[in-house]
Amino acid sequence: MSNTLLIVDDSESIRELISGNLTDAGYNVIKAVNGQDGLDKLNREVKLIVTDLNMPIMDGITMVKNIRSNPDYKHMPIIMLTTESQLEKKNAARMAGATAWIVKPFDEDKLLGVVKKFVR
Amino acid sequence: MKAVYLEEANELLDNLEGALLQLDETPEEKSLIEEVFRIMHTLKGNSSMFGFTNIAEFIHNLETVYDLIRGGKQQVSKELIDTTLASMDHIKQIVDDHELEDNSNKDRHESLTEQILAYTGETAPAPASPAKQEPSEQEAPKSTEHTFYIHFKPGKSVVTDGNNPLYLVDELFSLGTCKALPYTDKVEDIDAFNPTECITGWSIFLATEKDEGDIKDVFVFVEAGSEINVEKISETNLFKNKKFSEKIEGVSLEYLPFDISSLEIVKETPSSSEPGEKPKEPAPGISEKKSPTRTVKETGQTQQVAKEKTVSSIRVASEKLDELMNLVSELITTQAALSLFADKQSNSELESISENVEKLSRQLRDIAFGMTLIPINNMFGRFQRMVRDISKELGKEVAFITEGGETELDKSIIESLTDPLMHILRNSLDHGIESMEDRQTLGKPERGTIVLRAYYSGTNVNVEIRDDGKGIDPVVIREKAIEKGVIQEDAVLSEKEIFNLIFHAGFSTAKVITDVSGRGVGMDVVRRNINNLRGEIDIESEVNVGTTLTISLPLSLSIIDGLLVQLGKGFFVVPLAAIDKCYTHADAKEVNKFTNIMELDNEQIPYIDLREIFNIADELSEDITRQIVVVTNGRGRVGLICDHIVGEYQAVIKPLGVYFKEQDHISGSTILGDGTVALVFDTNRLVKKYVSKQQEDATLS
Repeated sequence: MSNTLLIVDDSESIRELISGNLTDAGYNVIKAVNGQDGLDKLNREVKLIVTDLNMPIMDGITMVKNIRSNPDYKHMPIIMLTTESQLEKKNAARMAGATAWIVKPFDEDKLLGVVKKFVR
Repeated sequence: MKAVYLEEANELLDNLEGALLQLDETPEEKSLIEEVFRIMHTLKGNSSMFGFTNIAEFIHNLETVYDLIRGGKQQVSKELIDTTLASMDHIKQIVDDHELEDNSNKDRHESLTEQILAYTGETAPAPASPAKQEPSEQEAPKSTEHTFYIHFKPGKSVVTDGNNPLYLVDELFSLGTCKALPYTDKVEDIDAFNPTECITGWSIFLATEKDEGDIKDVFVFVEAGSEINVEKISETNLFKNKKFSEKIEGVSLEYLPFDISSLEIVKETPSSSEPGEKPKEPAPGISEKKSPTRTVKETGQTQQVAKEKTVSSIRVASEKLDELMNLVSELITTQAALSLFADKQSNSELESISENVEKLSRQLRDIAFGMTLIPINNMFGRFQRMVRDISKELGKEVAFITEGGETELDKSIIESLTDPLMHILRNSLDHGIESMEDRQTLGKPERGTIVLRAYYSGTNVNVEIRDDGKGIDPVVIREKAIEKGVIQEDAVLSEKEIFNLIFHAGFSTAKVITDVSGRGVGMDVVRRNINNLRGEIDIESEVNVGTTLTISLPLSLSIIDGLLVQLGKGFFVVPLAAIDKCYTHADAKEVNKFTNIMELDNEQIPYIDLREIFNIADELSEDITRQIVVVTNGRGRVGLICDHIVGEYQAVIKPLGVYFKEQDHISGSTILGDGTVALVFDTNRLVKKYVSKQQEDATLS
């Protein structure tokens, strides 16, 4: 069974860090540089999405809304990366359809901990 | 990984700087404020991710200020932009010293933080100390286990949100000793069963060392819409109490063991209608609905099939590019040998292969080449900041306009061009643009203008720096030059020659030497640097109107498309990009043999007989019709007369070496397929040297 994850972050360093962690943990990783790119790269193999919130071209919330509007991906677990643990951001993310969120900074354990809640 | 962070941080800082400078011009521009905020946010996130806590905190404060601006609670001001720019510089400084071990960094960090906080209306906190970063980690360790009762009833939509409640229950099991009792009362008949709705829940007993918060954390992503109750029922591990274990084992069937009513959760307890369920087994409601969910996903094939797009750009080490360019050069030289060999063999099969190789290597060359070119914009950005800082320092108002930033140049040229351009800009700001009062008296706008423009011109890229300052007074220059002994008192010089004196070593006309443009050691170095790039610098100026410096640079240094021509027994290459048209000598009508002007296509143009210039005395066979290659040099057309045009040729240019450094006509040499050396003309210099102003005037007028 596929364990492909889609990582969407405009920041190369974060993208590489996360993908590195997840690849090491045995996941298969697809990378995208913004929301639009994420939508373009989303496919049936993807079992979970980790996405940044603030990105140029298309932000994370818009991307999540787009994904949720597609019945195929209604059940897709989506993890948002936020910098503030502020409630409003979480709510905005949740309203848009995010399943979970991780507050930056986070370490590998935290990331894997959350990802494993959804995909094993 | 850290290298990627640093590289990206620098990029972000550059972008931020650019956005800030634009914001400085148009402080009301909402999109710019958003942009600034977004970049700061990314930078902060990255910094905190990679452990640069001090930087992250520092940016956080800045971000707060821009958040206030975003919300209309704070205004963009010059001072704020200054502070922010200074902060950017500071960050650049401290990425190497993010623990602030250097005291000067530390002091700057604190004073800037204070300045920034002043905008947020907060007072500066105690100096950032490492201790600040880890209060949460220093929790008193709790070794004792407690027992909790957890009631968890996920919302109906929990599965459609992408969650799997079973995983959450599993997670509780990983925290300690755990017992989960499913609620099965709501489970419907298989026919009425909706696989995407969650209708089950659990009563869970958990003995763990963790506290209530940790347990709640497990449910953090489902807390909206779910019923979650965590209650501590004992300070000890009740599972060690046999009675308790027995009781809850029993309960799962009919009732709850414990007098839960005393814990006020009676209303949540299940009235288990389906006895016989083993508590530890996952609730049937869940396990059944898992597979149908997946089936739905797999059968719904109508939706978009995502295309695999490749990343839009990747980073490559510049050494790799250099290596690639070298190999491409070698390949092209080899290909030339192959073509020549194939020509001689009169083997059609070999010829077609050779033609293909030629075509492919040409394409490869163009692509490899394109990779080494970067837009000059990268460099322009840096100048924005410099101009702003210096003009401020000098108390002058200057609008700095850049044009043609998309013009591409070899990256090595761009790198070596930065310093000379910086120097010229400094000069323009310091000596060119007058003080505001002076400008007022002269009736000029108070605000000076400096335009930095790049554009293509034949085989060259021109970079032009134009200011509307006081210009260069040839009389002053002349006096100065005589005073300094650079020229004789009675020397007769054209205006242009006088201007060129400023490139003479040790020449400075500024009455007061400021620390901005240095001590007059600059312009000669500038010219030397540009000449090293095989470029030219040209100066035009008018008193009180302004000065224009034009730097003209060869587009590329290593491989060019050329036209191979023959002169006597020798071969030469004329860069194709400079060529306008080719004629036979018979097409031309000589107009004036003395000034070398001929008529071609009803147009009079100057010509250069290459045989004459290169002193080629080889006999010219009678049956050869000489040919004319007309080149353009930006100002006009000039005919080059050669013996014979051989054909198109890709020339890999090799430098001539130090002994021929001073010669002007040749930009390099190239090796032909048969090993013969051909020289490559530098048409611009050739024309410059042999076509006089009079000739140009005669033909252009």
